[in-house]
Amino acid sequence: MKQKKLILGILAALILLTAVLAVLHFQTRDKIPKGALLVSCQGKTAYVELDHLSLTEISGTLVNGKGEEKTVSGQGVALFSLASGDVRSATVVAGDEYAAAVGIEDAENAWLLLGEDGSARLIVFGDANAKRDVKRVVKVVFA
Amino acid sequence: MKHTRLRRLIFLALCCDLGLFTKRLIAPAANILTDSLHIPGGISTSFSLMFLVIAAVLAPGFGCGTLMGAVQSVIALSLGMVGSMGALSPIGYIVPGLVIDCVVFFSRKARLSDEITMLAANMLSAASAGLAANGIVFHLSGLVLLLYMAAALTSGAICGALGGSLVPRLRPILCAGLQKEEKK
Repeated sequence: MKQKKLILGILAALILLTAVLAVLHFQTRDKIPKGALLVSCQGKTAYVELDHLSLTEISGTLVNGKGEEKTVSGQGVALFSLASGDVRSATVVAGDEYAAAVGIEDAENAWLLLGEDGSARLIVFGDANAKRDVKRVVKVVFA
Repeated sequence: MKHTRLRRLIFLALCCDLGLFTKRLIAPAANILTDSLHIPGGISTSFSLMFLVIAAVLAPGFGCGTLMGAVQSVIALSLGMVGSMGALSPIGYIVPGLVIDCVVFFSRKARLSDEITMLAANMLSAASAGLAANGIVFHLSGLVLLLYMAAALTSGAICGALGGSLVPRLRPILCAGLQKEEKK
């Protein structure tokens, strides 16, 4: 009985801790409107409406972690076209804080593809690294 | 091969496979939770680790968890189930297995009950898996990292408590052959 109380106590404490941290996280994270991106470049931050971007028809091949190729097409914008000034890299962040880095050497292959739900997806064509397939992009930080 | 040892090996293999494939089954439900918390993961791994912890608690000796983790990593690599970790995915399987072995070892030394051992092993192995994934893939920091680790610990504790209720039921079945051989 004492043991069960201890286990329940630990569970309750952990759930409470998770709830408190979740509330703090919700209050401190960037609140980005749906259909928009938060772009940070050289100390300046701005919201960019995805609908207002000049979209280009994109088509190319993605390679997943198993080496399988998949053709992807749609409308999107070059990732580095969102930057103002000279930048060396971009960190693309999803809504769940998953982030991927893209160097300027991949500029020609890095695109933000607009999905049917209005969200953006990072595509790096020919990339064998599955880590850089980021869905529901909400923030791009240029450095 | 003695029946007891064969039964144990079959049980370990079963737990190994269950741990590997149930992660995929539970992932959609776990993703609902992680999406609502705005974290990249850390919940479904706890459920898969529960099977490894059950096997480590029921099997005698040290190294069971690490061995099963290594086997899981080989199976995952051979089936292409590498996820975002890519070629480094064995680290995500072996590190939690090692943590399970260490926790079970010290729990046995301290003569803790199976329920407490399961809870601690599942919690800490889930946390270690989360840290490994963070180091290799996510690179989270600050508050979101704390939330991610708290979610891993909480889900690990819940699964550990669930596993703790299963171990007393499984132990007589697994050890039935051993008792018969001892009587002979």
